[in-house]
Amino acid sequence: MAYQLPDDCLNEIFEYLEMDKFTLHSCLLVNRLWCEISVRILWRNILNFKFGKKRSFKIETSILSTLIACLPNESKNILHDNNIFISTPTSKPLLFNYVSFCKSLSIYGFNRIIIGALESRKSLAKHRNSLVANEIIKMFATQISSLKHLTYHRKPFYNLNISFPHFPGARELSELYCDSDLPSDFFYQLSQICHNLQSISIDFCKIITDEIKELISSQNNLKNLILSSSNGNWTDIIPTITNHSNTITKLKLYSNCDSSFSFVSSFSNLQELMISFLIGDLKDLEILQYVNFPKLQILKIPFYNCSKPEYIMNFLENNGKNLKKLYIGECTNKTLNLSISKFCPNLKSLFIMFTNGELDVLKTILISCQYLESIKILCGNYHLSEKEVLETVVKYSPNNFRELKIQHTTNSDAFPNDLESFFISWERRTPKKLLSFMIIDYKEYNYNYGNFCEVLEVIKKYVDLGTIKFMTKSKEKESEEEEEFYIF
Amino acid sequence: MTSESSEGKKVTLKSCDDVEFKVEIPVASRSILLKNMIEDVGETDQSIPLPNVNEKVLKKVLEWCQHHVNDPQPTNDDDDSRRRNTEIDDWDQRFLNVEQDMLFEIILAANYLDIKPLLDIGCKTVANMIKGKSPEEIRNTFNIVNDFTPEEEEQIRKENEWAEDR
Repeated sequence: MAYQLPDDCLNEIFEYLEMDKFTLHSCLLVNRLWCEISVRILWRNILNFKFGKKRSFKIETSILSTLIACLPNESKNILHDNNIFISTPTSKPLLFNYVSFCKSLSIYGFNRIIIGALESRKSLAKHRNSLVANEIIKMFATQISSLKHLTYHRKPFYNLNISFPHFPGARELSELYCDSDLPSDFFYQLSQICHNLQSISIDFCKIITDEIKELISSQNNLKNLILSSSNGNWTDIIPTITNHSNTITKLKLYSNCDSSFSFVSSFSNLQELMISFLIGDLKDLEILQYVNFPKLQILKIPFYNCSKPEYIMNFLENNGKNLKKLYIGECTNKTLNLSISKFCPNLKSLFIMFTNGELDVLKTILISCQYLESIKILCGNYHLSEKEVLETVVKYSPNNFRELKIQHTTNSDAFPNDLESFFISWERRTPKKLLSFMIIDYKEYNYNYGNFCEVLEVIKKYVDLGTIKFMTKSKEKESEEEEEFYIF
Repeated sequence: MTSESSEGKKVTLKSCDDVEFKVEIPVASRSILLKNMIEDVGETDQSIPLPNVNEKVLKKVLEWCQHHVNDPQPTNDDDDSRRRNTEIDDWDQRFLNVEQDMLFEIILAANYLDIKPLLDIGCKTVANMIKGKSPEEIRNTFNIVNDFTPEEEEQIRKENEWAEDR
């Protein structure tokens, strides 16, 4: 490196790779300086990385092995006395005190590691698994001086008996993901030491302890709230939550049924609202339709059966002016779609469903929403034709438009020459903008007549020419990124 | 240099190789270091010496400041969203399409002059160059010497084996 970058610049660079463990691992092995800086970032989120299923046993065993090497002698002796012998990576002292770099702890992820790594060892009884888990969690509690994120979900690992220890480093906790029925002493401890949580996510179970209410009440500046009622009901906690209605700017609600959400009407400072209910008519939209949310920028309703589109239209009439992103899935209604062009002139990102024959609505939206940068469109027999979508987008999308996401519901009607004409026309637009062209669930069978290879060739040609950036994504990945389902 | 929003007041910056640049104050103020200096010192005819930045790099940095003169000042509380966004806009991408030495010098200058958005896009660009590469490929890309002993390298590998697969 002709110009050695100072430590803080290297650190800044590695920060961008925070969730890319493969590259961070490469950085570790470049040289000593890179190692010392990247190791702190790699271990910061160790329990939050997503590991592929393929080699998960090896990974879990390897993490556990390093964690066991980090244990203080006292804990090692306890395991030894209980005839628990887990190998460590080397016989030498560790090069780093890895645990002290962690700022994120997932009891769920950690349980998964313990169960994954030790399950096959018949010699270890379940209570011994719990012993290993508790000694390691004790170590985290002693060595992590500043915990930022904590995920504590018990399911599906109820057979591990975890006791959450005294954790002074949790004082600066900013994000908590938890179940509503965790042991009372856990919530009590947190309510005594952390008062600056920015974000709480609660998965509701049958029991809602008083201590979780106390924890919520003791917060000074709660901004984000995620509620999931998959196994329980949030009604009991609403009065406690409503006390924070002035500070909360992001609210995400997940449910398997038509839960009540009329309480949202008091959250007047909301900037982002997600209502993701798998079943039901979203009957409380009737109340919400006339409520003003002057700061609302993002509205997402990924599953809406469209039983009362007029509720959404009225809501948009009141609140559409400032919306930057609108995401409404499963609802096909021409009048609603048209109303978007009227009520949401400042949209930057849009996903709605168009049915076959609504190309003129797409055109109207592209003409009316002059700040639109990104649109996701379903294409297929029951929706719009891909060929016509391409023609319409290139002709009518506004100047800042830069991302087209296409998801096929049936085979595409676009031939390679249709794509080529689209790219050529895009190339000729002024001002010139690099287009992100994404196909969700890109599969060979979505292209007729053996067109797949030719389609690929055309796409590659225009990627090489710098006209487009091409991306593919699975439906599941797209859904995950849009946070359609509650995931921890 | 000119700026739409300036009132025409200028400040003189002097590079480490003694080249002076007369710059509109709003343009120079993209640098928090210079902004604070100008506010502290007030109007002055004296040039501000920048001992860590040479003419070639300063010219390039000022080109960036000129282009972004009307951008809002970054706030301190959006670190996370800043880092999650790895997109670099078209103009900035073209601006940073330079030799690697120059890219590093721009990062160093942005760090020294405290121009956070420029530092960000510089770091993002280098991060994108690193992404997906093996240790050896990274060393080759940036001409870095491996100073580990084979034993050390092996130990780091073993202690962090969990992270080695994609």
